[in-house]
Amino acid sequence: MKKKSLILLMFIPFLAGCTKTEELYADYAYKSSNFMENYYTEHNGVDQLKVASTNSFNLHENYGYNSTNSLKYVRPEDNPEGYPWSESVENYSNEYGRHNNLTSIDSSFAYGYLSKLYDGRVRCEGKYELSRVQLDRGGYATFFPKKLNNYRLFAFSLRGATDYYKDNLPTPFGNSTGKVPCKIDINIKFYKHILNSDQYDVVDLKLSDVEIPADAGGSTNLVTVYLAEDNDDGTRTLLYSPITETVAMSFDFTLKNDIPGLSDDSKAESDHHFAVMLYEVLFPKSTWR
Amino acid sequence: MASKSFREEYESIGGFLVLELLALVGFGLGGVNLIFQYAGFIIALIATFFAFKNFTKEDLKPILFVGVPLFLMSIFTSFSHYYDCFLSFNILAKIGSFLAIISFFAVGLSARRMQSLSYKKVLYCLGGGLALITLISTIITWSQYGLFYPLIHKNAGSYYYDGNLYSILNEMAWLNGFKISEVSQNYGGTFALLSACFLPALLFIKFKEDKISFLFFAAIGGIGLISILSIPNFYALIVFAIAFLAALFYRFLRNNALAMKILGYSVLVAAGIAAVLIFFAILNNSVKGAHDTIASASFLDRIFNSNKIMLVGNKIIEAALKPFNLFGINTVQYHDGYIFSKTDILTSSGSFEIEIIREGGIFAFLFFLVFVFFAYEAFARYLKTSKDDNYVKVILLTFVVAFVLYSTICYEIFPLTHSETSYYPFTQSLSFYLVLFIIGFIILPKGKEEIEFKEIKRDSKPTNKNADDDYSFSDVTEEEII
Repeated sequence: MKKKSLILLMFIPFLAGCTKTEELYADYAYKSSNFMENYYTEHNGVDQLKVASTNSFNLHENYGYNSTNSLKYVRPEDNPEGYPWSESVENYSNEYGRHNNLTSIDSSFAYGYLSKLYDGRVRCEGKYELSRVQLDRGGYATFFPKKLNNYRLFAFSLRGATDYYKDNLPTPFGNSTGKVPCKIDINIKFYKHILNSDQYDVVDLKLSDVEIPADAGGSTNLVTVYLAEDNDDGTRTLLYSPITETVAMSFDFTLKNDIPGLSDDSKAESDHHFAVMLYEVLFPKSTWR
Repeated sequence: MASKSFREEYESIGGFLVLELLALVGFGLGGVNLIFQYAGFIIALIATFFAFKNFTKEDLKPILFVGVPLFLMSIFTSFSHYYDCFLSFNILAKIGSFLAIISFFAVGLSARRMQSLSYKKVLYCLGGGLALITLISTIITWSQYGLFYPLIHKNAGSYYYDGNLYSILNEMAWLNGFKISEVSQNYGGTFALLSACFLPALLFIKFKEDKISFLFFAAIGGIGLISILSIPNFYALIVFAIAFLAALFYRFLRNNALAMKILGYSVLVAAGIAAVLIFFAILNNSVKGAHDTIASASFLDRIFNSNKIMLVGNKIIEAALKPFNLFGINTVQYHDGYIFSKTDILTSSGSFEIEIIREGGIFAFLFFLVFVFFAYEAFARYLKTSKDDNYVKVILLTFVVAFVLYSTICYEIFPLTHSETSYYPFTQSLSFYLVLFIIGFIILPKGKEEIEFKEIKRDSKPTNKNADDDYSFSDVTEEEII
């Protein structure tokens, strides 16, 4: 018996999980010159979670629109700290990401493929595919390494991209000024674990008609989301409770532009494909536990 | 009964400090070099004080022959312009680097001449520190990466950290002070390899005669070898095999006149080849015609241009030969439009010889060559004439051979995988300090074969060297050791 225990003890290091080898990739993974091979479609088990309830909130850039749930996306003029998502990239600097990224807030965000979304690179910054995650309409989902304790705002930077270049065709979206505005509906879900159960409450945020640059090189837009509630006296109270305690999130979208031969579904047979290039997910000044 | 002098009474404290220093430097403690550098200096002063009366006139020449070039080299490597681009290398660090090189050499010299210090304890502490850091780091590596992970994951071994792509194929876990860091296998392999160099001692120690030493050296060496094998680190394995061959040679052929003659000629030939290589490497970077000739001959091109070491090495040699870089390659100031590029600053050559040129310039390298020449002479004399036990000699021999070979092909200036700013200069590396200690330790007085009083004191039982000195083991009584 003693010998068996000793042998078991000796093997503890090997049974510990080998954390560094859990998420490994081939060197060329998501770095292919073939646009279709770079889609990140993982949902990391989040789509398998048991959902107890879903609270959906429709947010729109026009303040007051669809205020059924008294939750609003706060427009720039109400948001002195944040940045307008519908304005051009020049309106926010790379410093914003460097000072607010999740890895610098908590180093547990540093590991894994999705660390690209937490490293503070809100644009290409010369890192190309190393700075972004390419998504189709199904998007992605992931658990956070820790639970969100509190935060000030939620933000993400992104742009659109197509594979028209492979046929040497002009893109329908043009350059950063945009011949045709690229519009997407974004659906973001936050998952909150219900104590002493295996179920989760979901907060579903829907952002409609979000305009982003597409095929515009290093240009991105930063979407900042404050959740607010109007008071009877005309004042507004920012709400944090809908997202705090979050342990996981998902992101998906739908391309609103109806362009023949262009699909936002990477699995669909189509001449050309569209992707959202997600550069960063930010919870500035948040704490995690 | 005559009262003991202050020196005699408190020498054991000096000895204890020396052992402590060796164990801590071996363990590394997160590479807090500045502390070790200044601690080394203070302990060198203390050790020299206690050992001072045991230095003789005969010591002077061999110490100066080895020490003076080392001293000159340390000036160039410590106060070089090269460090100007690293903010952490302030004047305190430069002085620390200079003091440390001299101090560890001096500690080695004094350690041999301190009567209270037993060779065995020196090796225990040195090996113990190395083995402990190797053991802890290896267990962490096993738990985080598994066994043989470079082989298992060779087709898909990349991972993302902070948005950047890294490979686990070249890294391992390391106890870096009080935290765990990812380091290059080349760096971690240094400690494992040096630890494994204690295994050849078993060629000279019989288990029945000295169980403790046998088990201790077997454990130290075994931990190092298992660490190397369990990753596996092929470069360290090859170097260990070569160093072990040197140990076997010493074990079985050191009394064979023909073998020693062949060895002598081989060393001469190797030194000649090294001299020619250095000459052509300099020519290749200073005379355009010579460069074109070398580049056009594929064999020479392979040696002097198209290999991992020389791709970086040539840039360093070329920069070091410029007149404004003679006191170390200038990394922050333009000279006629020339500046050593950031890429070149951050790229490791992998070879400590090239790194010495990078750190101290061409003069530092020339003084280093002189130092190597006299250190080699001192080492050869030590192996031939010292009355130290053979297991001591073979550990030191294997240690130095392995260190030189491994550092020639695997020295990393940025060993921390996720940090581009943690620069580890060769001449400020802890393993280099340990080798300097050993070089100091093996220097014997010229003209005398050994310090007689010391031998009498150390050997509690007479050894019959003529009968079977391979297995002679002179023990030290408990009263005489710390």
